[in-house]
Amino acid sequence: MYITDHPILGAEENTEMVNITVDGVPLRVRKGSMIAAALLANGIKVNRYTLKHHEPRGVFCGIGQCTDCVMIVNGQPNVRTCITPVEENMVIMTQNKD
Amino acid sequence: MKGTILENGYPSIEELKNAHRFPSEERFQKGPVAVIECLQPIPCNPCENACRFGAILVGEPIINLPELQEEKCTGCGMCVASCSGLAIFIVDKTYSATEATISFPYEYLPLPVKGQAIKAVNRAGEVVCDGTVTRVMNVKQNDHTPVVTIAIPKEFSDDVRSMQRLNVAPAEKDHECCADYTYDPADPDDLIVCRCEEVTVGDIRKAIAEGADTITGVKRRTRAGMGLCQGRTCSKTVSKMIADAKHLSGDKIPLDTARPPVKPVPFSVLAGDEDI
Repeated sequence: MYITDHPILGAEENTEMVNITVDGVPLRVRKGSMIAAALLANGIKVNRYTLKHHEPRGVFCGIGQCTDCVMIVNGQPNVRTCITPVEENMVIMTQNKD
Repeated sequence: MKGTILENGYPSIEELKNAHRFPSEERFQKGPVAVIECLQPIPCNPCENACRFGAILVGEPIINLPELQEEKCTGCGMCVASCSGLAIFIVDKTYSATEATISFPYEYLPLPVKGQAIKAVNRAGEVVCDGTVTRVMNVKQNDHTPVVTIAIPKEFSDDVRSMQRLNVAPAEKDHECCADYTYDPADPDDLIVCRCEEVTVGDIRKAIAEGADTITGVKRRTRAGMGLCQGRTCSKTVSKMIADAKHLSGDKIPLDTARPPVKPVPFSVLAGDEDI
């Protein structure tokens, strides 16, 4: 689900897509969207699992404060996906999945 | 503070009348007029410049509340879309023998159309009565803030300030997850407070019972606030829990120690490998 029409910003004109992989699965997502938003649009709600109890976590604050949505992006862990835009060929992994 | 904009997020009629926000009843009886429901002294004056009749005065200092010169106001509505706080309305109590019109900014999709039947709502967003859309204005000067005019029974003209959004399911009454929540003594022990370190309400209650009386004290015992986000999410809740336990107001609980960096950065930045 993307917002395609907005009362203030108007209609979305950007239809460019980029290719990313999430846990090895290829996805085409809207260029410029945040990783977490692109994943939500594809039904992916779990970004990481907690260290102590291995519980799933997803977007909580959505503004880069809480670090609940961190994932491994291009090999770097702890990337806040709600404030990091997708880029072509980005490799994204669920953090602490196993 | 009961029933005020600070408590509820919307003003009460008494509060507006006390602050002389309403034009006189004589002016209302002469035709459409602006009602400037602006109550907080913030530095803001687009309404003053929007009025080509010089009917709105903010002046110096810029934090003055806008004063309406009601005899100069023609009810043209140019100020409505210019108000960044969406606090200006045009009320016409002379629209017909039984109906008044209210014009208000409406920044939602879909927009209503002329003639459409809608539910009119008050400042709290509660449905007050049925209404009919008489005009939808969204010209370039509005800068993407459409102004909708609705006709409603005259007796509700001091209450109605907007309309129920179209094609949106009304929020459930018990939906409170978005409220400004900090902590409730009835919260269960297994509720998570520190999301990064998975510290629960029970853990923090235990730490406080053991003598922790500062955020830092709780942090040392439980690790709350030591995770990735560095207490940005939980320290407010911890502070409230300590304040409640000690029967103090929140401002008596010292802040936790904040150290740089102010935002999470990789170690390579600190090691000088790349610029921030």
